[in-house]
This record gives sequence, structure tokens and C-alpha cells, in this order.
Amino acid sequence: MQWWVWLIIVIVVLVVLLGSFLAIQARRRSGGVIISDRKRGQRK
Amino acid sequence: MSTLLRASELAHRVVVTFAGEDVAQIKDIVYAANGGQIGAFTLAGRGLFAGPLKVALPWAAVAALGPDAVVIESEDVLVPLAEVFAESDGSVGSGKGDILKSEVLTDAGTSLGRVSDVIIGIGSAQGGQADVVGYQIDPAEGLGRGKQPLLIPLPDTLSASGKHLMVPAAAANYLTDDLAGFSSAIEAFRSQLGGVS
Repeated sequence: MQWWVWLIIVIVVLVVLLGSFLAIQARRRSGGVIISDRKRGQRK
Repeated sequence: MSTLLRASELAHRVVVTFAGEDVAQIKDIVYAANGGQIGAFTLAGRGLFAGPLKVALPWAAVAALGPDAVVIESEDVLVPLAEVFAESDGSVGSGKGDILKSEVLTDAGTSLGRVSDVIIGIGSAQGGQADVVGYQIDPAEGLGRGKQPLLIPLPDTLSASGKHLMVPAAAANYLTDDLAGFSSAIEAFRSQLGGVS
């Protein structure tokens, strides 16, 4: 294969990896509202 | 009179110390299953590469809650994440127990819709407590109220757990789409239940 084909493949792979990483990070950092059984009102 | 705000407005708010140090940002809001009192916030680190932190910010340690930042005395007020969860629920940092998208059912068995946000009432006095006072729901089709998000008031003595959130059937009579007028809906609903605080 021509060298530029390999270059495009590498660029596509890098873009996919970067996109996946950003999506995972966004999911890890996304917020929610969680119910806890423990009632914590006061600081120790 | 308490201030009402959506939980989504608190998420991602920056946590800053009195010294001006930018220590984290709000990730999850943790509230008590029995009573609806806000107990703590879980935190995420700052910056693109930072993930969830293993410490949490207890509500009692919040010095000020501003529109752009949550102010705390110092990093010393943060507590281990496990302290804000019951040991048995297994929800530490995993996102389990998240009520967003949970179904709201009346005690008569009617589905009102799914939770898209949570309404928090914050006491006006400094150091006052914060409580979950309502849910914002995407209405169920059977409700016949279109697709516009609606606010549903909760009773004083909230009890919530599991995938389904139960509310008294009377709550369906106080659905509104207006956060500004939601306080009066809550008061009227609680008066009807006989639970005026």
C-alpha cells in the first residue's frame, strides 16, 4: 500500500481513540442524584 | 422561604476553598432515602483528564453556595466517599442508586413519568439544610400532558429507594412547569397531606 494510506489509517485510529477517551471521561465525570440509606446531616 | 434550584444547576459547579484553591467540581448530589435531606456531594477532579475523586463534600461543610462556585473552608473538610454511603448499598462511586431516569409512580399505581432532574430547596438561613422537594419529570404518555417537563412536589416525609419512586396520588394534582411558582405548589400539596412544616 502507498505510504499515505497508512498515514490515513493511523490518523483515523488516533481520532477514534481520542473520541472514545473523551466520551469515557465525560461519562465518568457526568453528574447524577444518588439516594443513600445513610442520613448524614452533621459534620463529624 | 427557601431557594429552589435544579440539581443539574449544581452539577459541575467548582469547589473553591477560602484560600482560593480550586479543589474539585461537584459530580453527584447524595440525599437521604428517608427524609430527602441532602447529605453530601461526590466530587470529580478539575481538568479534562481527572476522574471521580475518592472524597466527598458533606453538605454541613459547605460555607457558601454561590451561582458560580461552592465555597469550603479548606480541603480538610472533605471526607472519604464511603462515609456518605451506607456500607451495604454498594453504590460508592459506581453511579448505582442514581434516580435520574427512574420511574415515578403514584401510590395508586399510576406512572407519572421518568425523573429528568431533581428540585432542591435550600434554607435561607446560613448553615440551613437542603432538601429534595420535588422531581422534574418527563411526563408519561398516559398522563396526557404533552412532552414538556413537569415539576412534581414531594411530601415532607419523603421515602425513596429502588428503581421506582413512589409519590402520593394527590401529587398529580399539583404538577406544574413553572419553577418560580413551584413553592406554592409544594406548600399547597403538603397542606393537603396535613404535613405542613
